[in-house]
Amino acid sequence: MFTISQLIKPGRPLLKNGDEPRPVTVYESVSKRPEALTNGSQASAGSSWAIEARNLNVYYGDFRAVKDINLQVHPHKITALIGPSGCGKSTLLRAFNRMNELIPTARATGSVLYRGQDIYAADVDPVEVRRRIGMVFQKPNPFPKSIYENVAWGARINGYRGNMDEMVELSLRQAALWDEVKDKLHQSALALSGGQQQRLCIARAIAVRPDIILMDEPASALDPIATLKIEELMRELAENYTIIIVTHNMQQAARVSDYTAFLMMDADRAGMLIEYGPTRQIFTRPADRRTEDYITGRFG
Amino acid sequence: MVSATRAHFTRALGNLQEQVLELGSRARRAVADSLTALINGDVELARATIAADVDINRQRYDIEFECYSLLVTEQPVASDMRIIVAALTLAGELERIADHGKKIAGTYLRMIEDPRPIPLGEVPALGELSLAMLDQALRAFADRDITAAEAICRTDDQADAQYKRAFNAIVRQMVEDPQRISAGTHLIGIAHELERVADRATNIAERVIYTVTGELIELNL
Repeated sequence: MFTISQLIKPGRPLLKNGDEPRPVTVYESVSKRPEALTNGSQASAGSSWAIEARNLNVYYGDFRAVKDINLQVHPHKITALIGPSGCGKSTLLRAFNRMNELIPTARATGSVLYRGQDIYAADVDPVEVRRRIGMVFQKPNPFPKSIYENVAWGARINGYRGNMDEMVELSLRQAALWDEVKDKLHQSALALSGGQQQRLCIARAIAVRPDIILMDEPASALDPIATLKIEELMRELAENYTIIIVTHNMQQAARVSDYTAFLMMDADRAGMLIEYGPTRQIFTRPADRRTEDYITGRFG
Repeated sequence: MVSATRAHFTRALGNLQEQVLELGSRARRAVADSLTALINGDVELARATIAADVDINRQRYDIEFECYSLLVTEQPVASDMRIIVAALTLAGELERIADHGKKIAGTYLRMIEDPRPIPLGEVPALGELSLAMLDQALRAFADRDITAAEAICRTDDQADAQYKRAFNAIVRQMVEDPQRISAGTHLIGIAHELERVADRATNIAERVIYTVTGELIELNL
């Protein structure tokens, strides 16, 4: 798993659809943001979906990991990706902010439309994509710095020029962590509990004001109470952000999401989308027998 | 932003309870209106009561779907589970209570075609008692009040006695005046519906006790 510092370290090459590596820095991205990914008025005209995969295929070398995915993600809702191990959930999630490109052999075909614009288009900067579409990982990965610096860092390198103290407080409040850390902002983030560290990572992700937050098993390393706190936090965040979550925990998907997408492997081992709909419908009367078999524990 | 653990679910449970109480209020109105139509000879009110039943049935299914959704999505345990299961039972009971109101209204509309009407006797008093029990049961549910719920058991004995008195009085009139047999039979039917409302109020009270204590008990012995 990559840390955010690895992802946007200045000068780190970012691969584009298997093309020649092109050096892109976050400093560059501030001054060279693609128009449609920065202009709000154009953006809103693009699509009523928060993000949309169209005929999306992701390959690792010759192996097709997910195939022909068509998925429309509702804005300001929580969408869960569920399915057996190896069905391509995380691959699909990472395709939503071009994170797969950090794996050298990965490439994608088809398109992912963010506000009507294909994030895989040649003129789109993946760093800007990842600012708009942030990610929280399975294992909390705070930097070995203070709580304050963890939150301020992303905003600072994105050229944030407002009141940093206010921005840090707002982000920590939105991540439901402020009350627990307000008196020790300059202590090391590594001294926090696992659940607090994960909420700090969420604060860090929202500090750069993304539209969409991708979460890859965000609570799987946490105890039950910390898990419920993260789930409740996701509900609150969904008022302002679109959230897509990958989880192995079907009960969690049922609890926390508004929409559920069920994926499974086809005979060629490529992950395919079997069924997608409102979570309440998927878990009370799924339309596809394979979904029924999976959620009732008959296989998987 | 405060992040109380499971605040979202807690709100959903509150909404569920509100929906159940709203259904309760509509079911109560169905019985009360049918009784008023009977007592005042209000044909329009009887027809309106019958027409209102469609919405009540729909609301019952809305609540049911909400309960199923909460069961599968929130995986409730302990008191959370009991509230949802109680809501599921109550939705069914309340919808059937509204059906009793609808049947009373329908029976009344047939009764007025009888050439020889029959005095209502004890039936309005039975209706008042049944409605009072329903009110008490719904309040007990809203307040999670097991003392009030248990008290409904005692009131049910009064309702049973009231029903027997009403029944005997109607039979006596039919014996004295055989031309009243048709209207009398209808009126016995109405009295029976009202007695069932009282029984269902007791069922609701049992569910209140289950919600609060987790004990499944039979009050209506």
